[in-house]
Amino acid sequence: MTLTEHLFENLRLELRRGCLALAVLAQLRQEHYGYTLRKALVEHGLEIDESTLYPLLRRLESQGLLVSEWREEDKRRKRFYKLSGEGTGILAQLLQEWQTINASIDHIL
Amino acid sequence: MELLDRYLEAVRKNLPWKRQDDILAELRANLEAQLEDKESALGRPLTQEEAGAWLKQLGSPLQMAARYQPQQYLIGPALFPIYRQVMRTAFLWFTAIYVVVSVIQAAGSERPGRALLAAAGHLPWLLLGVAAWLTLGFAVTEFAVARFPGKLPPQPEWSPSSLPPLDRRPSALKARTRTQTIAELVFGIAGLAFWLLAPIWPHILLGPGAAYLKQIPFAFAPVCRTFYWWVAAISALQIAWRTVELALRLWPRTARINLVAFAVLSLIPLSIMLLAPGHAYFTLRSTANLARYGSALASLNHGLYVVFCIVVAIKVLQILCFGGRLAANAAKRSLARA
Repeated sequence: MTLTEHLFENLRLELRRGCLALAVLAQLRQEHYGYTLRKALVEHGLEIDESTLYPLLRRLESQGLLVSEWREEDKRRKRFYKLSGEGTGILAQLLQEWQTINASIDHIL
Repeated sequence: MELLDRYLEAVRKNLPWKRQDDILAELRANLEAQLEDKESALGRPLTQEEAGAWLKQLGSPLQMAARYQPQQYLIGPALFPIYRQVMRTAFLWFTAIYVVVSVIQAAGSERPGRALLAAAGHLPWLLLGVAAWLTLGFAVTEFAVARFPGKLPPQPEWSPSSLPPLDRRPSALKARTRTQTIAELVFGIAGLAFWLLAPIWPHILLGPGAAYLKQIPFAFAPVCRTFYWWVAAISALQIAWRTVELALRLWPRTARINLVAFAVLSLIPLSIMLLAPGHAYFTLRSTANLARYGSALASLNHGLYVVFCIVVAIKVLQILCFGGRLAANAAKRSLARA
């Protein structure tokens, strides 16, 4: 990997980090467990590694933005996540921030 | 699938122990669902190679487990600038105190040179210890900040009015900092100790080569003794002055006085050498060797005379330049006032 490619990769990861949390919160307005959440995000064009998504869910839950419960589905116990009350409020604020940034960048470009 | 079981078991070993079972159960459910999807799409179980490629894509067990760790760094970006500043200050103060204590201890010991060398050898290890304790302290603070964000005392508020004023003077005229003055004092003491110990313990200057000193046919002329004590006296005066500066907090205002006074004072020993009778800095230990070493001695003394001429010329030029700059600055100020 050249220095430029390395630099791009670092910047890309920085850019994606915040966006992924936003996308996950937005997608979890509907209940999902880890794997179906990942599939839903991929279907919307957002690729995300398992090693990024599953720990992210735990972190968002520990921050009180998600709630989860273990439930049996298709004869297998799965942990389902959905947005908490606090998460709903934070998501609304984040979306507003996102739209402002997006509009500003569009304006700059 | 055996390979998936082995993968999950490897992940378990690196997970936070309190949540191991819970995390692993969730990860297993997600990965098994993914595996089922893959197998139903293919219409057959994955081969060993395909399973290997899939698990490889997930990342190593260590990487996967690391993402579940709440903290990925020892000292985070918020604390790191403070850590670096504290480390720098601690190193400076520790070295300063250590040098002073070592010089005092060496002066009272039977073999001061050896004691100083031993102290110098210990210093890097002691600094390493200081660094280790500081790092540990900051790592614990980082851990506490991450775990109990609201329970720690808030950081003191920063105010732009606390910024130091701009100093546009040339670097030689800039107000010194306290740290700089302390460093000058410490290195002054260390330098004087070295200067005073060198004749008694030439090993600290020449190492094993000091053994050859007694075999060379030359000896210092009496003028060198005068030069030696003048340099020692000026260094002692400098140390005393630095102590006064620190005690009376004079260091921000004395940069100019120091520069001029000590540059002029340094001309005394240099002039003594320049005006030495016959420019004889070395003599022969025995006049019997005159025929053999006479010309070498003359060359040595002449070479040293040239060196002293150059050094004196540089010093005089520095004093003149500095005086000129001071005069120019004074003229500028008076013009500005007019």
